[in-house]
Amino acid sequence: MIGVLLKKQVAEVWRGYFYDAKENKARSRLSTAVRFLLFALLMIVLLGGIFAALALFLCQPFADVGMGWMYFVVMGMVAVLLGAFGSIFNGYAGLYLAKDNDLLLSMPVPLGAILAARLLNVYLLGLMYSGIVCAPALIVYWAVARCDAFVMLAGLLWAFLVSMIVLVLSCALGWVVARISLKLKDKGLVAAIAAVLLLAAYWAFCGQIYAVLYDLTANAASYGTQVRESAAVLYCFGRAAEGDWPSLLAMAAVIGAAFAVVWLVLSRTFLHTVTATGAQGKAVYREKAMRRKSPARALLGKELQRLVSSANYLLNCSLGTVMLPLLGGLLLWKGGEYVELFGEVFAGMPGTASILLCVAACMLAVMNDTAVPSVSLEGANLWLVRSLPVSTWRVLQAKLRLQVALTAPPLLFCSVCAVLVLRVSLVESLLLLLVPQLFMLLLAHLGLALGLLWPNLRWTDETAPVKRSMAVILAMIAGWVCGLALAAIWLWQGWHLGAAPYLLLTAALAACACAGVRLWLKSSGCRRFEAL
Amino acid sequence: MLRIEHLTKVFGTKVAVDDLSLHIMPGEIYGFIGHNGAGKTTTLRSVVGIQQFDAGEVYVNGLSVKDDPLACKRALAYIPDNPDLYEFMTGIKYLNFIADIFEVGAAERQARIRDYADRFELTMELAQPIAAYSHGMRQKLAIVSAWLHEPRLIVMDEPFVGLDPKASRHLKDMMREVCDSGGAIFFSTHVLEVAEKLCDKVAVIKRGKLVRSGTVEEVKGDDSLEDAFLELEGER
Repeated sequence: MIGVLLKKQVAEVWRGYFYDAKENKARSRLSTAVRFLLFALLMIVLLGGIFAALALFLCQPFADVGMGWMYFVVMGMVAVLLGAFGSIFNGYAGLYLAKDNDLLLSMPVPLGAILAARLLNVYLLGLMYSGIVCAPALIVYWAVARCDAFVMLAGLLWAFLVSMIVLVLSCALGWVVARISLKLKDKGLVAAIAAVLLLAAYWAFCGQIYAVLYDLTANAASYGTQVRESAAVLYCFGRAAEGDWPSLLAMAAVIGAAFAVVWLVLSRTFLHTVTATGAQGKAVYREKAMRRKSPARALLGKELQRLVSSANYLLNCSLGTVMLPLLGGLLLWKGGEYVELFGEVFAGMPGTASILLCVAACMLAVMNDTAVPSVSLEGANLWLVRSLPVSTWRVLQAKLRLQVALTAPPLLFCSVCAVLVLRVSLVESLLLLLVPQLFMLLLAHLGLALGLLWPNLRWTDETAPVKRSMAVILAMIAGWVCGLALAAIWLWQGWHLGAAPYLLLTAALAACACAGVRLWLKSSGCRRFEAL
Repeated sequence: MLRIEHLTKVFGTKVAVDDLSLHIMPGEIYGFIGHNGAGKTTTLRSVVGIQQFDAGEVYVNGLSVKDDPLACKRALAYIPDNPDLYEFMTGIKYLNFIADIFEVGAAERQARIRDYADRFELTMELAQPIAAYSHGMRQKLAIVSAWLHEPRLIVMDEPFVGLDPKASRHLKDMMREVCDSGGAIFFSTHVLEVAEKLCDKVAVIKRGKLVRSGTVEEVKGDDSLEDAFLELEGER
């Protein structure tokens, strides 16, 4: 029984890689291989690369003083933090919000089997997140410090145990979110606000991380002794990865016990939570005077309601709306220092500060990609927009407008802050306001195009279109690549042009690209939507 | 009101609808019957412009669904077999959304929502999110939303599924009201007793082909509609 459910669950996660739902046929081997390659590229090269750099920075100093365990404590905590944070709402959505819960509960399937299958889904995602930290951490340690069969085996077991910690935390936090959301009316919005606060704390931590790491590496011996004496659990955690078998066994026992408690709580409350209709009082309808809106505004309102109803969608696709004003505020506060620093570092390249601040704003704008999953999120409701007397282009426009409405004002605020700090010429100032806006427009159009090229209308769990789809991954990569290219080309040769001409050229390119994608959307894009 | 001419829809190698022609006049309730997978839903989806078809033409009030889909959609309303509505909206927000799209004035929509929601005893539930609705309530909401812009043609796929007897009766009355005021209803059903009592005309489809159409009397002859249908299906 459980095997069948696990097979279904895994097939669902990777279905898009093997099966073309639109064409209703299996993908070619080449197409599947390309998809896996792209996925691996993102996870291993891009994200794994970042953590490999961190591992390289930390490993040698700790290994030199015989404190490899401290290195693993730091890397393990980063893995747990990343995995648990990335999986809170996946844990909640994956465990409790799957659309086939009712179907499975109506079948003669033991509750434990359903729960186990759901947990596997959460586990795989947690494994993915923790793996991109643990894998480079282990490889770097084996290369720099010590490597034999036992150490390697212990390291692999340690990575597995880290992924189990992530699972336990994700499930526990998912359970807490589920309990809270049962009592809330605007679940999506409240959950998103809570998550943004968590994220703010996370970013505040990240802001201090380099100072902390430098301090740690400089005073490794002293901190190591303190941790060893006052936090034996952490010491045990680190030693396990170095191949200390008693530590490994102790850690396995603790994590096993924690998992057993979580399993017990989840299995006892699963049915109640899944089938609960909420504790809030029933809203009673009171007739009010109705107002008429234009169809375009109605469609935009529908897209906005869709967004705020889902914490997952909000957090994964509109975080830029929060981050951009924060960057603007940071620039007003400390922007002068940054500009001075850029001036010193890039003394021979005048205008670099303008370009880098422009790139920073653009990179944060990449965090807003509501248009990408909006096509897939139509799901079973697609018949509705298709049966209404509105043109396909108008439907697509509403999806674009939502992303623009969420991004343009905070992006403009951020750009104005940058202009105030930079104190450049009027032309350069205007271009600094214009380029991020054009970049954002290009991202919105490109994202929607990708959403139409890789739609997934048959999801049972909304994390599939919002988080795991090919379209979302490609849109994110495309945004990063474009933003980084803007900085890289400037630093390579672009600075010879001067900041204003370079920005003008960028604006022209972005406008042309945006117009091209818009033309495609209005013709082929509309036809693709109509054929879904 | 609705003219379907040589409609053909192919999925891969399977011909779902094969050269189907029907003509539905104003004032008619037209039933569409056939076994599962006969092509009823495909026909209805093609008629309302949700699904592209491979050959043939569909005219609503003389306008081609292919050439002028928006004008056709303004004149009709569609209720699918499974009312998947926007679960993230409340009932009243959904109705307002539909009214906005069809550009129904504020006063008219208020009066119509009050009237139709009251008939289906749905008024008190309108502030609830659709996610909390039962299947029957969703079906009622879909019906209310379909009637909001006073369409001339209403296309429905199994509209009685999930409705309680009282709501079924209201729906039948409302269908007759539409036809009495010069509109038309085209709907699919498996409930042959309903088709026999309610419809002015029926069409029987089998493996995508129209096998018989006409008034209920013409189709059933001296038998019941059920007997006639089973005979056409080769079950008797």
